[in-house]
Amino acid sequence: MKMKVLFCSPRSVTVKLADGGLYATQKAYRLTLNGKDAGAADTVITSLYGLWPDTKYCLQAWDGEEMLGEAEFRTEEESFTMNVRQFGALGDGVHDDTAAIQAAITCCPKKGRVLIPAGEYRVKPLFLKSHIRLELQQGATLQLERDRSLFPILPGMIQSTDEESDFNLGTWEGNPLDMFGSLFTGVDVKDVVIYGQGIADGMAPDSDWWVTPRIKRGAWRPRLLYLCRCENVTVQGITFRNSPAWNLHPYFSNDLKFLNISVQAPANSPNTDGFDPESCKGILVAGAHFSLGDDCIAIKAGKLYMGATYATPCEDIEIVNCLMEDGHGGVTVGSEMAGGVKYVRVKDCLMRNTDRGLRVKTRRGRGKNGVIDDIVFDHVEMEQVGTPFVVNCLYYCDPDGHTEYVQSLEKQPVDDRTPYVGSVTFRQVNATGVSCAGYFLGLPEQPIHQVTMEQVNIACDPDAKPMQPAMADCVPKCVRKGIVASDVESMTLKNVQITGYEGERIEARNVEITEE
Amino acid sequence: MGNEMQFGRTRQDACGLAGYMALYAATGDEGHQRLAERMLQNAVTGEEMHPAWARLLFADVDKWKETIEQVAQRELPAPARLEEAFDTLPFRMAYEMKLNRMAWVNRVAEDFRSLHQRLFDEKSGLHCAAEGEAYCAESTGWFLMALVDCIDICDQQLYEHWRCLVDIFRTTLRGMLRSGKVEGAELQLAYCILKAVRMGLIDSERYLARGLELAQAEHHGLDVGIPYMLAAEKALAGRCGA
Repeated sequence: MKMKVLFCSPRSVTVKLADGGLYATQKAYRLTLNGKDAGAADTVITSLYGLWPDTKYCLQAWDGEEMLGEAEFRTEEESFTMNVRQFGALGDGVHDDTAAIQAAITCCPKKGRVLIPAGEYRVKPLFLKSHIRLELQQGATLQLERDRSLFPILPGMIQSTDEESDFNLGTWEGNPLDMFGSLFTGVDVKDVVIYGQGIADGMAPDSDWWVTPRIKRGAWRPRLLYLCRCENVTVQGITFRNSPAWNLHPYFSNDLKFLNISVQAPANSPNTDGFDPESCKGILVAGAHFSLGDDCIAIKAGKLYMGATYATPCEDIEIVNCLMEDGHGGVTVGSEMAGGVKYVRVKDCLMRNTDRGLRVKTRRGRGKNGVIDDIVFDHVEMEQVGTPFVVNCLYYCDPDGHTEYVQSLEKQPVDDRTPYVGSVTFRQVNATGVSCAGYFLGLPEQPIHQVTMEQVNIACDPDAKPMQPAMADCVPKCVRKGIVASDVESMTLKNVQITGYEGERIEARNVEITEE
Repeated sequence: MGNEMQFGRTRQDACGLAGYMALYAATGDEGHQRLAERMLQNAVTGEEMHPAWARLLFADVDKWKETIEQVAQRELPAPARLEEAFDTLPFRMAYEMKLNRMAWVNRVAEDFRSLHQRLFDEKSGLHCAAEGEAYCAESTGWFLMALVDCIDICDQQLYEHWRCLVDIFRTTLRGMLRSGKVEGAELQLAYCILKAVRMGLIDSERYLARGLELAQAEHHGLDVGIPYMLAAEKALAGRCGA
């Protein structure tokens, strides 16, 4: 069995145990570190904590007495530890520990560690600094303040003194708007690691964040992690839960890793997307577990103003060995994609009980820079996923989402507001418990360019409930349906099996289909 | 009052009503509310109503929906002169926001953009009042009032349209102030500056003092409308600590 070190910090390591499993390994393995017992591993992406800095380790995986794999690594150096208790944090769940923890962060020297040991820490938004590692140890919970009147606001756009340019801090659903500071906020920081087995809790059920969520009260809702123009940031192992809005939101940031994280929110919580990279480049999400109330992963690139002004796509995204459960979509692209989304690879993942598997959503008005291209799903299992594949160019979002302009099935002029969907590929995908096999809804004036399916097996569920596979005015609820496609330039199907459907296997309008 | 005059036919009527409504909202003085209600009770029908007046009816959409729809069904031409922006565009923006599911906000933004592009001179930083005409401070003042009022009405989540109006507003205001040619539009400018500062559109450090200075200008025969709207903004500015 191949073992590969994906990431190493002074006190932790993440390895891949490539035994053919997707999220979970095919069996549990016993681990040893330098010959000593290091617990068990049952996930393909596994992390270990409590290591010592600047130390050489040999990690081995055992099945009984048989050693199946090993990897050697050396942990990074660490300069100092800032224990937040020394800065006055009490961790008693009552006292406001914001000042103490923020002081520890601000004072932490380069390559130092901010240590948050076990305890419950009530905090208002915390602001990160470059070149630090922040450890949230097992048993440590950061509890976000519940009273929004105590939150700082990040203004959306601040005009420069000479009135010639803008400084963007806050954002909400693809527009540069005022937002509350997030539990972790990073602005222009680099070389940061946030890691450990602790919990970042947005405490939303105990607050009013989910009450009238679509009304701006003071500012727009905070996230649990917001990275604005950051570089080289790794988040490892943390559990994020009960966020007021989206959970993890890197924004115009590059070179990011999210390893072995867990993101949770109740199924009926509003807009609690798990991971929303927006106009970012170079992201690895490995071994993550999502179970929440909206899209598990939603890859974004802003709405029209940001797409036209900054033209920054979200690209080079790799999502591997993850488990997506219970959300609206497993991996979603859009609907804010006005800067473009390119080169996305989803590999070796398991989606369970999500409404949709891959979900591309866009609409007229996203703009000509809104190019979605080169999206590949490779070796993905979907269990009880309502509609495995959806590409919807008539998505009814935003205040004008139901207008004639957005929803018309007649050809509209191709202009500066028209988005484009290039190629979308599905390879080695098995989907069971399906309601509708696939829904592809292009724009008549700008069809989807290419949809490719190879070695895809879709089994409709005889007991499936009707669902609306794509959120557009022209799409009714349906059940046990095959593939529905309209306005697609080319659809290539190789070894695609669909079972349990009623009616036509493929309903196509304005689609060129090639099948082997 | 014997033969009650009818209100709502002119831009001046609209400013008078706006002034009373704004002062009541800003100060809570019910005397202003009574005056506003009296004007509303004696307003003309939707067929004759000036759109700038009709815009104020959105304060109580349920009560005035029928009248508003009467105005909306009329052919309201796209403004060809700067001051005409104030006549129709705030009404159309309010209609889109409150009654038409924001379907055609882009058209309102486009009308502002079209006026700006046709009438703005980059070199001078000023607008002509209309094609073939010279700069007129009062016309530009109405244009700025239309802009700041539409920015106030427009949902910021329609950011590309909202931002278009803000950019035009800032460019227009800067040009006018830099030129110093403000005579006849002092109170309009003061209103726009105070409102824009309150909304965070422009920097208070740079503009507020100038706005308060302009607010000291004589009324120049204007009716109570704009002075009252300005008084309301001053009251709000005081409350915000500006």
